[in-house]
Amino acid sequence: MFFKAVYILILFFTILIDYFAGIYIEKAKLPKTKKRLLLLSIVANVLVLGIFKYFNFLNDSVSGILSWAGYSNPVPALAILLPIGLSFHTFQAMSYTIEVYRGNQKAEQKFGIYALYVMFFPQLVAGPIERPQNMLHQFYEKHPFNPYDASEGLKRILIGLFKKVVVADRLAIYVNAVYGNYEHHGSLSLIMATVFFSFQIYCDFSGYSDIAIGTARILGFRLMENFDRPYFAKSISEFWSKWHISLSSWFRDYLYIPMGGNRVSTLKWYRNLFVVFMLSGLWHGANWTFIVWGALHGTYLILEIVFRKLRGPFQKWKFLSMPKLSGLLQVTFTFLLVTLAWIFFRADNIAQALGILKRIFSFEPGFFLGQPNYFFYSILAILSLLCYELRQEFHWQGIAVSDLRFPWRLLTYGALVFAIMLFGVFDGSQFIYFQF
Amino acid sequence: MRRLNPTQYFFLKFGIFIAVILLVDQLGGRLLHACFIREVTGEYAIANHIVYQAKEDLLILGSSRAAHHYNPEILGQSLTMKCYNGGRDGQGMIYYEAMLDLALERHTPRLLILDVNNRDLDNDPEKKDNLSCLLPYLSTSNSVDRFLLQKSSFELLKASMQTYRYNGQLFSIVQHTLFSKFSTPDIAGYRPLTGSMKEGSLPKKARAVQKEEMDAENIRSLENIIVNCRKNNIRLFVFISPRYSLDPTTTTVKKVREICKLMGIDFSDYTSNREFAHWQYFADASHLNNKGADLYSKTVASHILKSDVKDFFKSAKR
Repeated sequence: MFFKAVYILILFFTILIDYFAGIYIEKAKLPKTKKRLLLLSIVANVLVLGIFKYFNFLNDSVSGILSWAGYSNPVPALAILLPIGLSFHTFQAMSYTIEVYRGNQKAEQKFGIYALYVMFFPQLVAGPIERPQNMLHQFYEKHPFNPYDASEGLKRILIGLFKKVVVADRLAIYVNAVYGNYEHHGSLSLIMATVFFSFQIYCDFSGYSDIAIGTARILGFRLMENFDRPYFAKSISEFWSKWHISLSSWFRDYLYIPMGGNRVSTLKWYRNLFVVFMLSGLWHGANWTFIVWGALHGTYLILEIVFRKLRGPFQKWKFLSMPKLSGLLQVTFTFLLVTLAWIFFRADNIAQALGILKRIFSFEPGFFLGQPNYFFYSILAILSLLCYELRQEFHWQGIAVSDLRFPWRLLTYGALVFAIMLFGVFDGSQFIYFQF
Repeated sequence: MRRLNPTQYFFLKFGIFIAVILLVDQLGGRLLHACFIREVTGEYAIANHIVYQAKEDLLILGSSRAAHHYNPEILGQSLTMKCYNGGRDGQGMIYYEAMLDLALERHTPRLLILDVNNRDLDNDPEKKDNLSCLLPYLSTSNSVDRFLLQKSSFELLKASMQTYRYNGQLFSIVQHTLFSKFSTPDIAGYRPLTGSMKEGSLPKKARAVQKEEMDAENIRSLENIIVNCRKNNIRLFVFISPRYSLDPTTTTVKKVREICKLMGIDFSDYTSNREFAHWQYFADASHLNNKGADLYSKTVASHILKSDVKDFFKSAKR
């Protein structure tokens, strides 16, 4: 990760634009003026994002097309770095001006408070992407030390750390080894690495969210939940109501619904879904792999709607009337679809993603174990995560840590600390979502 | 007794929690160390032998290529001295220096073979991460500190937790103490590889490395090894063992040759020695199999015998 102090000015620039845009939008009497001011704020934000995140990507893509046609691109690449967390705080800033424009939020008069809303440190670099209605009023409230909040916050941080260093970073060792040399690995190894990556990315990102939410909680602030056990989703649409909730709800409220959502003709509905998911992919990174990943999810959703309409005759099937079995099948199928799409998310480029898919379906024999103890820890990490989430998902009583008496509760959290120290990976790896 | 308010109760519970963690950490760390030094198979058993038990006159240090290429039985018989192979997978120059330092704290070998990998002086963060295998020796020697600081400036702070020193090792400790009979035993540290490359395989051009950036710490470690050997009257031989790829001479090889020449150290590069250029001698492109290792060990032994090693032993005051 790189740090350049001068890049703080970019953040300051967007904060300044959006702060004044908010005040003048509220003051403006004519809807036309309000709209222009909103547009100004959005253009400023998108421009910053466009220059720092997408310019070189677009330029490279144009160069590729031109060189294919036998021409050279006269526009040089920009020697710039992507400021950390730019996509997150740009989206958070945009949600503020949009909400002020819609009249759902009063413009913030105090510059310091507005700047704090955009730069609140626990969620500055990787979200959750907050809404002004949830955050701004909290900066006006007093937050005396609350032992309950502190205790809950610390527990949340501990769980986040476990997810990050014990599960995500441990799985990353196998995933990196296999994906780094995918040409030399058989189908089973690639399938295993892809499944591991599903858990890695979930624990990496939800672990960060847990740490952010826990840190804010200790200070007395409540951040929105970003994950709701997404791998228990029974459909892709349900998955997106459980995965990166703050981003998916952002796209829903500020793009999908303004485009007409599902209250348009069927074809336009499909178009809306596809466009929104493609843009969601592009939001993640300036690479065709992310665009394909988003497009795949858009396609999944369209197909889901089509199949839902066609499912009538299949409802006679006996197993569909067995809720537990059909539920399990739906969860498994959704997980497989999501996992398949992660290949594009993880791959360095489209050629690599297609190469991995090709090798998976070549049914090449052989299995790469890596270091047996690391593999064993990886399986153990996934199992412990599943146990934790199963209990939450099905509300199993009596085995929750909170159900235990103090000494046993203490021992359980102590065991978590030692699990982190004994099985965690401390090689200084970053959170995956820091790059976005 | 006065009732505690919620804040006082929280800090009391938090204090108890921290105290229990520290206590269990101390006890757990000691227990893990006691088990750790009882490992009889695996890479830690080999490192433990060098740190706690080695009495051999010939010591071999290096990476996985050292571990799989030097047969101590052949070398020992040819040179009429006891030999131990301390090669370890995924390690680099800083580790070799650390192991020599640790070994010298209780025993001085007469001969040291240093097997250098052809990218051992490159800046490789992964190899620095692998230095965490030295963490358990923090309780044995203070000299380990400076090597661990190469990994990260926070490493010693993290290592103040005793259990962290055994991070990622629980499975290995159980496996190599309780279930050691299921692990392949080594031959004085040597772990032969069986099997060979596909029949008729031709040496392939090694993957191009975009930029070979040398690390000053690695160079310093090599120089320290040489100085340490000289100070302790240890005859040092630096080898680059054979590989089955057409690897162009790397900056590491050039630099090692230059340093050895400058400091008067016997250096031999077997990378592209024709004698070993047969697929039957290799388990993979970078590692000799047992057949190749035996042949190479004989070559190394005769190389050492042809040198002035006997005169060196006579003249060295021990």
